[in-house]
Amino acid sequence: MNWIQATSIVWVPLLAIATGLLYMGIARKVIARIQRRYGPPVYQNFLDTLKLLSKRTAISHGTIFDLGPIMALAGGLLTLLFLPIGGYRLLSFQGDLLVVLYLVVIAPLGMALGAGDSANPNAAIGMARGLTLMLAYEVPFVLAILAVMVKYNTASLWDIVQAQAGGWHHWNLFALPLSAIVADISLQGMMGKKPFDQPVAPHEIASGPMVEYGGKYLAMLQLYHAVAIFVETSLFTVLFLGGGPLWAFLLKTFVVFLVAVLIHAVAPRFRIGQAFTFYWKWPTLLGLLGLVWALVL
Amino acid sequence: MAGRLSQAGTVHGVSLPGYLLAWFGALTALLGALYAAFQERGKRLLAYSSISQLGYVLFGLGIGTPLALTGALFHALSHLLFKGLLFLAIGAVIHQAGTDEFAKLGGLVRRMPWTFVSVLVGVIALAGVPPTVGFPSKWLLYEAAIEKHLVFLAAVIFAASTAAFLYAYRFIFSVFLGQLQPENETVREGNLFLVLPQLILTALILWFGLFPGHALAWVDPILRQFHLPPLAHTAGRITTSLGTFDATVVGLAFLVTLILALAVFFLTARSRRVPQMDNYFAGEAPTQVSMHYATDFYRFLRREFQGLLRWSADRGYRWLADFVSYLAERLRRLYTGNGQTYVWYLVGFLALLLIFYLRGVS
Repeated sequence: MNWIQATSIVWVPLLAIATGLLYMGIARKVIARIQRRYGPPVYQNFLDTLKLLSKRTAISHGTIFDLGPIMALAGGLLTLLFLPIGGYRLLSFQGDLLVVLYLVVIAPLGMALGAGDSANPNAAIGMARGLTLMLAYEVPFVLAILAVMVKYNTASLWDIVQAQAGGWHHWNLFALPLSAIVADISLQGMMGKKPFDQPVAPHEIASGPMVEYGGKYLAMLQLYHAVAIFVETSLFTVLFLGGGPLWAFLLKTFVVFLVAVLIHAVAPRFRIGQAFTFYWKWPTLLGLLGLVWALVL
Repeated sequence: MAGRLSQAGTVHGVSLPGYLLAWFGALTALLGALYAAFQERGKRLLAYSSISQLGYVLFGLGIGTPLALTGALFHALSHLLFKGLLFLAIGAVIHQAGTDEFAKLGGLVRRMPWTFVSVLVGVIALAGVPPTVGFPSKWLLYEAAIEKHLVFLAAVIFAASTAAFLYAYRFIFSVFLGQLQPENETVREGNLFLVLPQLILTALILWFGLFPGHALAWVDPILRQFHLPPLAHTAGRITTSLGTFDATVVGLAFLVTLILALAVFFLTARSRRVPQMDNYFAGEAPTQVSMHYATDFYRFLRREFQGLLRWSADRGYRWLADFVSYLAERLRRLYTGNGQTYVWYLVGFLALLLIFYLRGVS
């Protein structure tokens, strides 16, 4: 048992990539079934990534262009190391929730740099939308996590998980229901699922930042995407669903992901301006109420 | 500091004047950041961003706890470093390319690589992302606000910090990334004296980012002079009542993950360089027109803020000035320039005086 703990820093990233790719495959299947299609097998994304990695041609627009996917993958893995995953602390005692909040943005900003180097206006438009969306969902999300931090008087993720131990009624989902709802609405934007997929919007701006990336670049972005899914669902699980042992932790992340996918499958896309106003209106209002709830109770 | 100024009531243990000062700081930070995102020239963007960043300092001074004061003083130092660097860099761009207008720049990374590297580190610090000096100072300010349960203030300052991503990306993208304009083909990197100062500041930003304790060592004596306890820290690790931030561990972990990602990159097939116009245009033949998406970058966001941006002190002042000159214009019509009119004014005035005099007598 002890060596599993000791090597958690090595196998958790591998687990995250595998889980993320599997979730992406399941999402394709679920969406296909909702739309009355058959859909690809759930392991399709493993095959896609391997194929892309082994492609012999990949075009590049310059060094910064190359740096984009590298920074994205590195930033994603870095964030993962500072989360407590399924009872393993990893490095989460070296930096608290506020540190994680800023590590999360390394990947998208790195990708933004790379995409910007390609001189394709679609990429730039996608990044402008992505950053606007970030400004939009970050405000309600911060209100939600402030409620959690104020409730326990700590910003340490490990302490927040420990405080929720001992049964489901201790989870913040039930202790701070308003904040949990707000955080989940923000998570939809953070994961770029509909109705908040404006930065990518394949029918409008040809996948936005990804427009010039192909071959091994696209493979690395797939890997980053897998890690990002795992990180985002884990963050919600840690903050509101009480973490738990590894199997329970993975189950909870899957439920969080499935909720996002089910909304994604049936929702249309907002205009980016509408998405912004939406986030700064209703979830923000709810978040403020949730914060008052945390301060008063 | 502000805590000693007055005994007039407290909010969550912060004096009322200090609390109001913190709100002014937070709103300045948010509005300054939004205005910065809507500018069309590099220097103007940086100027508005300075307003925003000094809002953070004011925020910390307003809260006035030892933690907040440490954050405020530290942030003043980190702002000095990264804003100094960015102004030097945009100065180099103006010197070499002749303008700081976003629409006329773009793609300069291929012409001015060293300036690009320093701007890259500069905007990462400006956005407040580790492992640069911009992060620990902001982090201390957040912890100070949350420690005192000043959550609504903390939310505003968080929004300001996210808005900083917007203008930081816009700055580096519009000048250095995107499409290189044909008229900028001949631009060259500046000479050693333009580049070297930038690189020195870049190194300092990274050094204090990895070892924030060295910067805090300069803040501690100031706190002692005010008889306040300095913060617990080592060279790399800062601990507050809420949590820990070990800058050196974060930096090292980033290095390791970066090496992993680089390994994936270099172990797979080599990529082929193509010219910048070899892009996906959905079947359209690319022509040599400017496709640098730089003007009005956040148009959709500006539209949402239209109502707010209409209000400005400048415009309010101009409205007042217009109103006064309108009144003066009306008043001027009394002075017709005709001597006879003035005589009648005089007669009227004397008649008024006479009436008042008679009423006074009776």
